[in-house]
Amino acid sequence: MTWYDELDFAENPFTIKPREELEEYIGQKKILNQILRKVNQKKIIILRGELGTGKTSILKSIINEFKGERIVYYHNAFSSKQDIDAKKISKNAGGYLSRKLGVETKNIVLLVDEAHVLSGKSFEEITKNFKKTFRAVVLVTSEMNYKFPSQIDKLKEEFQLHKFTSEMAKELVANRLNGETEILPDEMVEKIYDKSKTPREFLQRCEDACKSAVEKGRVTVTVKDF
Amino acid sequence: MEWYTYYGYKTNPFETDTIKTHDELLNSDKELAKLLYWVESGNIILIKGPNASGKTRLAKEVLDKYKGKNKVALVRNNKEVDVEDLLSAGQSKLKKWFGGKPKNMIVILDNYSKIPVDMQKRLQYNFDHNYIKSIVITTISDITFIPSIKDRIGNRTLNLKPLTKKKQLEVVTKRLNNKRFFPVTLLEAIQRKSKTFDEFLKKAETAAKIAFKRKNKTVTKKAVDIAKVK
Repeated sequence: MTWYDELDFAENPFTIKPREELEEYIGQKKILNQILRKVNQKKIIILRGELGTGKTSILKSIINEFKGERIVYYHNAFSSKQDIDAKKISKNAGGYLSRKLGVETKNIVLLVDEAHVLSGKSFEEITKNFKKTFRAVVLVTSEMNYKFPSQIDKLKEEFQLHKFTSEMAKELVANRLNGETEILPDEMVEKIYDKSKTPREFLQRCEDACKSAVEKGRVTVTVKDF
Repeated sequence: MEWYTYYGYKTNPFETDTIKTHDELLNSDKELAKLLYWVESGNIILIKGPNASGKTRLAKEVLDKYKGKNKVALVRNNKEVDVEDLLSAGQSKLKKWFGGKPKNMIVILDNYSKIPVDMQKRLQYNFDHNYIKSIVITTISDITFIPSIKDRIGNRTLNLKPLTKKKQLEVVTKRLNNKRFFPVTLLEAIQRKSKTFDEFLKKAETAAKIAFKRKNKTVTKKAVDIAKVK
């Protein structure tokens, strides 16, 4: 039985994987709403954020926002072997029947994760089909200094995820622990935050501290645990 | 007939691949506990250590734990794989046709010194989206990871120390079942002449094969002398 099983969590509350439920900590929800507004205004949006600041989580939230309407297409440039093909995407977006009948969907919201990896061909395809097949495009990258091709650059609206602060750390912990922060009180969170260079490192340290405390039979983390 | 069958063994007692053997785990229990916890809670884990430090033996613990549920994929020795193919390899044709991919697989990359950037990216994507629950990588050297993988590994690293000569000898005598067939003094002599554990095992096997050829009841000094220089 793991420490989080003991505390009645279904899974590791400090997982470093992107989550569907948005973290309530300052910034993420605000940025999501701003992006959604721009999506409805039919723009090309660039979202930048350092490693582990929640970009993929935001994309997952956007997908959830449009769930069931079948108009969001998620493309991860890391996992895709092919360039972006608007015709293919529009044929596949409508689901099995539409695909069989050759019906093309328009007004797709295209989400691209790791967008700095896209080929020139893919960028051209995006610009060519913007406002036709693609009603809006969200390009996400962890490369803070990457320069997108000029056609994209001209049309884009840019957002940046905030740097991870101590306040955000506390909100993140409260969110992950469903408000039951007895195990990891604010003063401990601050200390762990000070030791961490990235959000993921922070999460791992929180996990290690809670594991240590629970395994030693304590109800709350102390400095001995990290 | 295999030489080891002649001497009463079911499998080769000088097998160098610890995935195939049934050796007792000689790493500390603490390291195993950490590893199994990290695998269960969803991490990318690095097991580092020189030859014969027990990396593969530890990975075998993970393999054995998840093997029965068809939840683990093992790739070895710098093999470049298509991650998508690897993940759907265990699936029925029907599931594959419908494009489903299994979730929460454990991927073990055993004995890697480099992982192509493309492969790292696919591993990252599948890890993030829970097609892969955890990844265990064993290595002797320092692998060059892309920053996003390095960030995900974080502090989930085990640094193993090599087995002492005494412990190495213990592994071998346990496998030999303490039969009189290979005198310990001769084993020690071979060990002294060997730079690595693998070399020790290979030389010992050579001596055993020579004894077998001559139909000796035990391994003799003569056989060992020949083996030492081979």
